[in-house]
Amino acid sequence: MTVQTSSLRATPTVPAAPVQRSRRSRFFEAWPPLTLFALGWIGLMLVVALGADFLSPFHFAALDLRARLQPPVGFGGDWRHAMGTDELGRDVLSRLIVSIRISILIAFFGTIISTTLGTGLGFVAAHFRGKAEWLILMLIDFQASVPFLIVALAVLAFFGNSLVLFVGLMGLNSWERYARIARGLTISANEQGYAGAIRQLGASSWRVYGLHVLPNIASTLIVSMTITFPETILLESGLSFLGLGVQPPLSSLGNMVGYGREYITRASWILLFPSVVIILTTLSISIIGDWLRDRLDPTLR
Amino acid sequence: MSAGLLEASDLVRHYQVRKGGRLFGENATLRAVDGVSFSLQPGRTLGLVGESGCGKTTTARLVLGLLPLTSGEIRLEGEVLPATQSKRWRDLRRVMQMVYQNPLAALDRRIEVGRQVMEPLAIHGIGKSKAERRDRAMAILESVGLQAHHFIRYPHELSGGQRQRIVLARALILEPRLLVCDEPISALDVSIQAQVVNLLLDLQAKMGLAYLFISHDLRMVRQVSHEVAVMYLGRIVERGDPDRLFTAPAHPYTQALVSAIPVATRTRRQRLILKGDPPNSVDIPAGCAFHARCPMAVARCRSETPALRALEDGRQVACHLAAAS
Repeated sequence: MTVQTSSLRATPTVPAAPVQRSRRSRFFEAWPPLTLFALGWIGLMLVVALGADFLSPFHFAALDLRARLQPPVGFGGDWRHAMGTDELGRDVLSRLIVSIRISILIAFFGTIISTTLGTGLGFVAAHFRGKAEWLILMLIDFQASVPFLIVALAVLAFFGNSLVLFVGLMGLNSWERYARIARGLTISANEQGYAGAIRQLGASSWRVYGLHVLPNIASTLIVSMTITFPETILLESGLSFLGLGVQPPLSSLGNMVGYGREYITRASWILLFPSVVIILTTLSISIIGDWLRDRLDPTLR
Repeated sequence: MSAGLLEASDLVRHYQVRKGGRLFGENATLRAVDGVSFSLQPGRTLGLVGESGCGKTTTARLVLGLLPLTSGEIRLEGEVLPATQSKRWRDLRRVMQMVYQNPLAALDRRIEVGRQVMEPLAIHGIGKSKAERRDRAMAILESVGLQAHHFIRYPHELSGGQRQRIVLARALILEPRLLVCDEPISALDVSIQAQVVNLLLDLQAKMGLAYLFISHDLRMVRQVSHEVAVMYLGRIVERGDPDRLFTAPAHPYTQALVSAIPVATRTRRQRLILKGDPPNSVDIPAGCAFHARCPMAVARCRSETPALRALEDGRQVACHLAAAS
């Protein structure tokens, strides 16, 4: 059997040219073009978010009433305002850069908070079972049964609005998904799987959860994160659109879309640029999530 | 007898369950293990056989201290088994280890198998450096018949037999004196089964291990065991020397089990085929638990629970009728 296969491989029937092409195709197999684009776009967004102060040509709140509603380059505008201006003459590009920073910040920390919270509660439920599990399951059901937008509206209306509170609120979004995943996978690993076996070897709970359960469920959690991340951006956009998210003069992507809708017929660029950024960012994160899941699983390599 | 490695006396494990059917079903007791006693000497093998759901695996988990006892006592080298997850319980993992039915589930599929074999050493703080642990893992891999290049493989890249060898190596690296094998071969190919069983026998000869060998493969049990205990619905119904037990079973249930072993000869033998399923362990019938399916049951079997009694040849049987024979 082995002799046959090795002799088959040894036959020099493969010419030189296809080898080179196969090297390129192998590269694209590991790094699909769509993934490269997504990684590039997310990289660009991070650079923009981190370097917002240096990149924006104007201050995001600087008014220029003589240059109101100027179209972007290519639609009759000039390079002074590459993406045009809004109804108060503020530079759309500058506002977009600052908005990206705020939205990425909110979505990033919101996702981190909800992942940590949910996974932690899931582990607690799976480890202690009994009353603790019952309580956490009840919280999960409560969270899943109440539309989060309503909760968010109520909290913001009651406690007022600040950026810290808003990020914390976004962190409460969809934590129940992580709690469910973590609890279910941990219970099955404890009952008949590797985690039970490791515990039987005498390992402490820290070792079982930190070194074995968490790495094993990480790929599932990361994929969930790539769903939560765009969801958080969209939720933030929705809340800002409703006027309860990020407050003016500060600006976020959803906030820009919300205020831009009044000018959708006369100056659609105010709304279109942030919309495109939202779409591309959420799409890129989803693509990266798919790709990461495949990369992180040794059985698929 | 008291100098034994493992001394289990009157193990009982009950579960409180709710009877189905009604919305607020009444509570009932599921008697998974109901008064099991045995002892195991160093370097010996006790085979535990019985059909599915008779409490074999629960007994194994009780012996390892993975489940709390409802009542009864387990002594390991004279010491009462401490509570699960206590410091002492963790230390005792170096004395007793387990081999699983499904090796793929028992291994962490994200970690190279060699590092998994090294892990018990890290858990118990054995070995000064990583290099030393690595050397010991290499040595134990070799002794279970694997090569150095298997060290960096992932579990899914190995065959079933190789995976079971890894699980064995991980248990043996702590140099335990008792190995509980819970159906170690039933998930393997027949050709691999023999390899693994021979490996177990070799290791026993080399390291002086004691095995609690759980299986429903009666021929394998006969091959590896020094003593066999047959379980039915949480109780031991017959116990004794494997050769005598399998050639002349005394308990009707053992007779039925033995007659179900396939043989290669074409001679027709009388097969004892049991009617019906074993009763639910929630409502075990009064008297002998086996009487409903027993072809020889008499009136006494319905009212009086038989206790384990010694026969002339040293076997122990829990049957009213066996004493007469």
